[in-house]
Amino acid sequence: MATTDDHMLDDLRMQAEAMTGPASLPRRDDNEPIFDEPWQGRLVAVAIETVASLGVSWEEFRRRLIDAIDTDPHRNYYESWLIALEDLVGSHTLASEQELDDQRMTAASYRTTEQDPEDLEVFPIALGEDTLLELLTDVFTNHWQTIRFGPLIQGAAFELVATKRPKLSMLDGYLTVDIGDSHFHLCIGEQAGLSGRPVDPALARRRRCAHAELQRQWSGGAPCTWMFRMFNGDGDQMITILLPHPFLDSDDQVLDEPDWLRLQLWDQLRKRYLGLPTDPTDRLGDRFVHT
Amino acid sequence: MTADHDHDDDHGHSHYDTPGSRRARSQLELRAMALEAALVENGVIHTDAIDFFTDAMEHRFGPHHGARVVARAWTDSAFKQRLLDDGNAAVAELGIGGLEGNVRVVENTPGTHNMVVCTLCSCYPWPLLGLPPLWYKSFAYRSRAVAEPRAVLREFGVELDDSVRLQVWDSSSEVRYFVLPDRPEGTEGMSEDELAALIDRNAMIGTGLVSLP
Repeated sequence: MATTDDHMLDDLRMQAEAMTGPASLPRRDDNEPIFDEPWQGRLVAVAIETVASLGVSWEEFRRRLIDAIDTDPHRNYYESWLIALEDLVGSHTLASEQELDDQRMTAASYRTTEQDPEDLEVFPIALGEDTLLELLTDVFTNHWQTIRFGPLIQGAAFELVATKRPKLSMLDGYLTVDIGDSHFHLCIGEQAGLSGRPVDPALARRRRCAHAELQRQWSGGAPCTWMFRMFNGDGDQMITILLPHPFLDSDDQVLDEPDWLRLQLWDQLRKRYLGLPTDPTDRLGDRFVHT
Repeated sequence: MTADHDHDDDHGHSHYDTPGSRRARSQLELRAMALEAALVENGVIHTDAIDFFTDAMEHRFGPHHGARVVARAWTDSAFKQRLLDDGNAAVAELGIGGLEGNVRVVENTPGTHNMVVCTLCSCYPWPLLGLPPLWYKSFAYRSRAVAEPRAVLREFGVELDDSVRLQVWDSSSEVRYFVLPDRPEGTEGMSEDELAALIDRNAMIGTGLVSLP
């Protein structure tokens, strides 16, 4: 039922929507706010509720929003909202950096047992053709000596290695990875067809990488395998890249003492593609576990 | 969150097969989710308030709901009576919930025109009409709707005959007014859906009339 709180919220909503200048909400022709993605609308609601809960004026938030926009007028408008709200939350100690980091890690992944009796944690990552190419180029040309790759599915486990620094090239949506004595192709972009033979767009969609994931497998309460995986439009696995392992050296020999530096590539991919900090739980294991 | 797995007691990663978490999310979305989750966990904000507001933002609520209510009232006199008696209960019959405060429906007739304002801020029946338009929240409308309502209506293109009584209603967080427009002539054979398509937001605030296209 209506209370003073409702009234205050209505008032804050009005002030949020009435902001002018660079802080004003993007609007459609009929003046309704535009949200390209649902989280943006949710963020507006969270900001309003937070200001109401603090009992401070909307100006407290607006000032931070304007500062954030001034610092970089070209960044995404709702990223400025995020920066402003993070700053408000920080300065009123409503949540610690550690709590925000933990929540970010929780939001970034889910756990499943469906692909394997062992427990798998999946971090879906949003990758277009450009970022996929960037990631694969980095992994294959800079880390080729420490990775193993190939499809890893029920009943078939390929753990291939490159014999020299791979060369990568793109043709008609396909990335070719030349690994020395052999090569393979991955469809990561739009395949149009060559020499006047167009490809059915529905077929091209099935072939193209539809989602990519960072994954870590758990065993005995600790992560034990770190991977990057790609799936096509049918949901079939295209490739698994086994990332450097702290308990295995580059020749796959078991190390007595873990070399945590070998998790650098995993940490780097998490940071670059998910914005996640290094996770101490990655370093919980005390021995090699064969999966 | 589940606690039925031995890993979950050890650390924070306990979203076990959470539906909806399988989609890839941008880094910005992850940051927004983390802020909301941390603020909810620390008791600063409440999820249901966010859900309500977000539903409204995503336009689950909008003038098309209000238009359905009007079209039903025009075609079903028993419903109309229930709507005038108890707005919240009658709109709930059409599956419309989430109203804050009480909705009071005021009926336009050939001799009476109703118009709604919230002089204090912007109280408004969101679930029926969506987010209020900017002008509804402007100081100009809030003050002039009371001081010179006929002039304001003229600016909206509504010319009222001097013989028509004009009644201005001031919405508050307790009572939110909703105008039941007068059914125009020439719509006798129309279905409820056809009628609903004629009715726009302003007609239900009282700053417009319903007319045939």
